[in-house]
Amino acid sequence: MIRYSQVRGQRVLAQQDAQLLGSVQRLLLDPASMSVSGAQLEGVVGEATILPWRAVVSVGPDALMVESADVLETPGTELEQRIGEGFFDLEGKQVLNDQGDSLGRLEDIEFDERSGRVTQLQVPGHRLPLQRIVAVGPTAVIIPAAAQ
Amino acid sequence: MSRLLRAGELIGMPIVSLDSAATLGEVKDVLVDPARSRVIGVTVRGHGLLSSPLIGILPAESVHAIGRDALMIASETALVREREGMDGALADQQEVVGKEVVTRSGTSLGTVGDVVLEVEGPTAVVVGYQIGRSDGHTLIVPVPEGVPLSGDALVVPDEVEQQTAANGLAGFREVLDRARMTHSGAGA
Repeated sequence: MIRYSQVRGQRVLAQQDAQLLGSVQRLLLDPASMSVSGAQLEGVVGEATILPWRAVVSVGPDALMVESADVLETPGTELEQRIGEGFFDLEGKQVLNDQGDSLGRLEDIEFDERSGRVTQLQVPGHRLPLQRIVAVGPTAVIIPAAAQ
Repeated sequence: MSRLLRAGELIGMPIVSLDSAATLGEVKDVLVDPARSRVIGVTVRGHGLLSSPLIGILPAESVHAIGRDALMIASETALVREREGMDGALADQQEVVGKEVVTRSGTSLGTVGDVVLEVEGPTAVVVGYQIGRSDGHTLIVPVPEGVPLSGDALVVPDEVEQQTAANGLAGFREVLDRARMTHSGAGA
């Protein structure tokens, strides 16, 4: 298991030619599969700024390793729009349960580095194990009430 | 388990849709069925600004849950434009607040400062009034079912005067439970 805070800002290096491709700006969360589907990189040359999580070969202490620059993808218009609307600015989002009770502001998320599957949300003073995500929006994440 | 809530606490509460986790607006006012004391919907204004225009009405049947921090609905399509079928509805903040509460035998208990709702999941029922007395004290009195909210004053049974709670919603919960036990005992 790794945490969002360990990955954010991390360098992304290509194993093939040791090229520095960029660094992680934000993680892309897919609520339906409850997993990290990829990362948007900053400091990238060109428009292919999306790193699909399946292309991450290793999460090292100092860099995320991928095979080559070829794994990077260009974001589609829909993804760009969602990024612009703040869907993936996870930190500080309000965590609500489906009964309308707030559990706090999102501090960090824990996920499986291989599958990308999210296992826990961290709010101040609490770690919330996760069975399901109801929805992720521009300002809130909704989880089932039973997940508390 | 049900919980008690002042209607005023609902005002400004964000309305969040479960399908998109988006905040669609916030509660502007609570609409109460004047005959049955039931909350039949809320009016919705844009989020964040007190002067935001009305953007719709949310019928009570579209409410998924009334939480402590948000009112949850299934999707944005639950918001309607028209007050269809809600013609008799009162906006409680505007129309009930400030009314005088008088017992059947003619004792004035004070004027309504807020409406107390009992909330269970998605439903809310008016169960009491918070009353400001002329001596400056605040009391909460239970509302027996069937007291019309639409008159010039609210006329309540005499026994309500003995059922007042002086120490907020916690005290009122006890009063309410006791009144219900008496009521169901009498009916048995």
